[in-house]
Amino acid sequence: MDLSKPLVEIQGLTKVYNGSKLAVNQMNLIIPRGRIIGLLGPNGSGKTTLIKMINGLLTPTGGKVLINGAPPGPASKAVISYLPERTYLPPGMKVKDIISFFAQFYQDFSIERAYNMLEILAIPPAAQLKTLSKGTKEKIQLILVMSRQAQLYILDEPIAGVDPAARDYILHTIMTNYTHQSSILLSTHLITDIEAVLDEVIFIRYGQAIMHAPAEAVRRAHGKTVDAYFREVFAC
Amino acid sequence: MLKKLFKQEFKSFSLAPTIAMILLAVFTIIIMTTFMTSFWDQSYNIFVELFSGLIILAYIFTLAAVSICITICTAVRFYRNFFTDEGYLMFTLPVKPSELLLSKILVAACWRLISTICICLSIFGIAFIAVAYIADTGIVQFFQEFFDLFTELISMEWMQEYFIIPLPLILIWLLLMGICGLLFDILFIHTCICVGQLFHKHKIGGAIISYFVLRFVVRIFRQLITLPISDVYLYYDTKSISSGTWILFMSVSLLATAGMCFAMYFICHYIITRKLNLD
Repeated sequence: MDLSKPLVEIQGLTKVYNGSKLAVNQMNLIIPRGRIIGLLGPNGSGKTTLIKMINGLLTPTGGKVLINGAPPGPASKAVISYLPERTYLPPGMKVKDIISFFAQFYQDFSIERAYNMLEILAIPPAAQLKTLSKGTKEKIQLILVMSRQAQLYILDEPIAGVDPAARDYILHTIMTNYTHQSSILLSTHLITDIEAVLDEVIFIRYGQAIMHAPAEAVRRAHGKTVDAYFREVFAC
Repeated sequence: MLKKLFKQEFKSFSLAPTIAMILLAVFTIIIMTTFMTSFWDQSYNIFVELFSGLIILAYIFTLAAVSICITICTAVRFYRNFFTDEGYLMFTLPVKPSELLLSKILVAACWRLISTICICLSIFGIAFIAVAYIADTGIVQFFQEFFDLFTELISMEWMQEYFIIPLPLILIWLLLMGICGLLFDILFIHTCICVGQLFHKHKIGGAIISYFVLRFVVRIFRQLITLPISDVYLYYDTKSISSGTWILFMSVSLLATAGMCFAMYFICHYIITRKLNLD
């Protein structure tokens, strides 16, 4: 691990959909190590597009993404643990099969940790994924992501689809499984639920990072919570 | 990583083709059994006639179903795994895109090979048993006679005169053409699906359009390659052509097919590395 380079460096990143819709516009950003960062912005501001480009799932129209100094590839995928905003698990698989699948491909995956979390959430390992509810599948995806010892966890709307009781558990899971050498990039618009855990916040509007600052500095400078300040900035 | 991907893909691909092949085996055994019993000796009976008609019809449908099933599985698995939500799983694995692509191609090729072998075994099995039944000889004796006839045939003088190219060379060429043809069919499906992804909307429609356009392009290319061979057939006495010329023609057709396979592989690789845009 080359600690001299930023964990993620984004330079002039642009994404245009269908030749006309600008989703990310000349974005420049640095994601440091050992921080929990909230990626905050209204719907359609470009959060998911940015995350997908960091993960190599979208090809940028311009600019570049560097993870540990290199563009997205097998090396970056080995150190990023990504939770998408949708369920992507093959429905024909069983829970235990998907766990062994992750264990085969990710060297940093802990089977023991995954089974512990399954037990706590009362999810049967022998259950077939297609028989489970959307919320349970989301919990399984979170278990898969947080059972890794990654350098960067990217969580796209991790609490949007689950009930309030499960939200607490999810946030607790994120906090207890995360080590201080890693960073978490957390995208959401449910800021109240996560504000307490954030070290830094990035505000995104019209595909540009309009603010990147420590959460505490935002609170001090504006005399209000990040959530209240977000509502003020993005008021309709 | 390729080994792990291959293992995983083989496991996920196997369900539908296995069911199709079990069905084929069942119908093959039923038909073979009828030839080994006194089924066909029975006097006219409407139920026997109906049963035999239905079983033969079902067998023919199963033969078609096995190859159609492999083609559909190849297309569906490739599309679903790479370009739907499952793509989020596949393209975030710490593996090279070439390994992802190769695992898909190799697994589809394996199943296509297995299905071809099973279909051949089934057809030849039934044919041998049926001929043995008609000739009224024992199966072992029939195989012995068949083998003797085949050995006699390939050692005949006219046969060796006709084939101016050594038989082993023809067999090697056929084997290589078989492998290239197998890969060509799979890569053709993969390429159409990948090219379909370049369309902004209606990506499946784009894949279908690509299928017809690519089919046309391949046909034109093949026509151009085989043009000199067709000329030889039309304007020259084929016996006057030297073995060297035949080998040249064979090599060109083999290289052209292999070249198209490589071209399609690189198109797929380019699209999944440089043009990937998961919705």
